[in-house]
Amino acid sequence: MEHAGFILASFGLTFLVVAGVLASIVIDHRALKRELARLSPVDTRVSPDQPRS
Amino acid sequence: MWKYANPTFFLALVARVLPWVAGLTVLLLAVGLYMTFFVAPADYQQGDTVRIMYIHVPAAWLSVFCYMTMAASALGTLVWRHPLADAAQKAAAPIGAAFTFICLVTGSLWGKPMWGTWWVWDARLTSVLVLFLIYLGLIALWQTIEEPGRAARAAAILTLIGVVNIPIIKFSVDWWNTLHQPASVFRMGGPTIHPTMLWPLMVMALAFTMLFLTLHLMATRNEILRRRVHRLTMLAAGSGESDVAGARFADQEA
Repeated sequence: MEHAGFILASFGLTFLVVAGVLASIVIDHRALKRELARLSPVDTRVSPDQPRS
Repeated sequence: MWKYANPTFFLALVARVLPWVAGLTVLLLAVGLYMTFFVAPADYQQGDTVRIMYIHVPAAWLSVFCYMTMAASALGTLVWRHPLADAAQKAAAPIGAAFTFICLVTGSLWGKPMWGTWWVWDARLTSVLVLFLIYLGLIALWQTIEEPGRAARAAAILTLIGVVNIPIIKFSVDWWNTLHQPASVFRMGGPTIHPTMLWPLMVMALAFTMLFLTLHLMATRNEILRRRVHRLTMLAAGSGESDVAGARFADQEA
């Protein structure tokens, strides 16, 4: 395959950039969920309509 | 429409549709990559180097599509002041920057063996570089202004000003004498590209669009959660721990 280095570099870099964006979003999501859980100590399964103890 | 734009409803919708959208993205990418390497023929002049086109062109389309999504969200922010529009706009910027970066670098990697140079300051390349800089400017703007509402309005105004660059990107190859080739798919008189190359390109374009949708849904969900964290943190700091649970319920009902 002619110019294989250029082709592989293009596809490899695209994969790395997309994987990086995806990883940053997933890591951010986990951190936000942790933070929400920390700020909301009451059991989240309790309905807002139910009386809280 | 307003029901779908409600942040709480949006979170529930994302939880339901995200696995399907992500699954379809993976499937389309697998089919598109198979067609790119095993179905599409080599070009009679460029040889196998033409395969870079199957990521370069979809990335270029998505860089513009993402910006137009942001512009539509900017209108939602300025006209209706809708919080979901803010979140969608902010979430799209890093994704758009990533697609524009892919477009610029793969274009450079395609240009070196075909044009004999990594870069030229021609109208198409330069206008896409300007688009990349606008994305970076918007990301920086959001990080500079602390108050989310003010940041959203400032970013919306800058986004709408930046829209002027989109027709320049599209028509730069017609208005100026450029090294970059003119449009060969979306043009008057139909595509000039052969169907054996057009179909793999269309599948890859659809795969990239679904990839954008997947990433954008996930990132918008994060922005909504970030605002909830911000609100709860402010309440906890201002009124003590006891008010935090109340704020959470108020938030759920919003």
